[in-house]
Amino acid sequence: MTANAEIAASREQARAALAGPGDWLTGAQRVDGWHEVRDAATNRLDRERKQALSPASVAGEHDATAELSSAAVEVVHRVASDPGRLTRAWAEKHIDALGAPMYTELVGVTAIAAVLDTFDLASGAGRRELPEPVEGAPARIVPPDVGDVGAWIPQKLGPTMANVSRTLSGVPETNAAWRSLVDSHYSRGREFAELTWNRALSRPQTELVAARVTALSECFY
Amino acid sequence: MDPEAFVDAGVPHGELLLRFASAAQLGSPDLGATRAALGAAVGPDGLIEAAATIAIFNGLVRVADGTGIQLDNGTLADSADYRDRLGVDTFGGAANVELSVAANRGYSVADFFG
Repeated sequence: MTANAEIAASREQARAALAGPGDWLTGAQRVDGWHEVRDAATNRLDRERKQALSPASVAGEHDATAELSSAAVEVVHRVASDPGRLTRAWAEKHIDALGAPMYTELVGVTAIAAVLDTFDLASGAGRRELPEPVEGAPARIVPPDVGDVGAWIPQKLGPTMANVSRTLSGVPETNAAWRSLVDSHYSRGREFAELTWNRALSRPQTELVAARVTALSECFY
Repeated sequence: MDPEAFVDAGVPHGELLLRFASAAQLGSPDLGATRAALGAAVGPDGLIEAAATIAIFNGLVRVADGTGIQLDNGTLADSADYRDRLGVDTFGGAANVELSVAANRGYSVADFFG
């Protein structure tokens, strides 16, 4: 399979994963979360917060949807629209309301949806309709090897990988789709350790693009 | 960060890559023209790889900032000089970082993504 075929395959797998039951959310809740990610791009409250010196200075809150609580919608909208200015206090408030596993899954759903929609925009493929939710029960599995590694939510213990690689390790179903996307779109297994990549773009070209995106997002990590 | 800064970064087609990344990130009206220009320069596979990179980093910044991960051991010291020069320390997320992390990484670069 070519690299670009792997990208396409992982995107289809991730789309199907978002449509189905996850770790703590149903398929309908995950698709609703994806819908809210799209809404965040034009949402009035999100725009006002984004333009404010401090997002906390803007009054208002997001309404609950048929599938998601107000707290869940808030997490999706803030992570989608202004992730660089999230604070521990904001996160703890919503983790208290939702529980750490559901909070983590909502972050993962938001990130996966952002990847899928951004690729369609950037590549010119055009935005696809949201998938129909697939019925079924969430896995509701708490991995035994997660704990406090300094993040806001529990993650895989031990210095076995970089922190960014274990962000979603507390929600294995969501993490599987997420890590497949990371591998196909960027890291490609052990190739990540090589300074020279045998791809259509060289490693410096790829890292230049990555640096521009992370800088525009003002991501400190 | 000036999204309209398109300097020669010493990378082949660097200016086009930066223009494409900014246009996609900002939803710029000239995204189509920028995409066409980059595709002509790097070919269809290169264009897909650029789009994939933009896409995945839109996810990576969200999982990193949304879960409040810390800088990895060793990274804080290694990055101090360029963080300051590039203005990264002024990013909002800097306030969430614990500054007393260990100086040495506990994993190899090959294990970065596990």
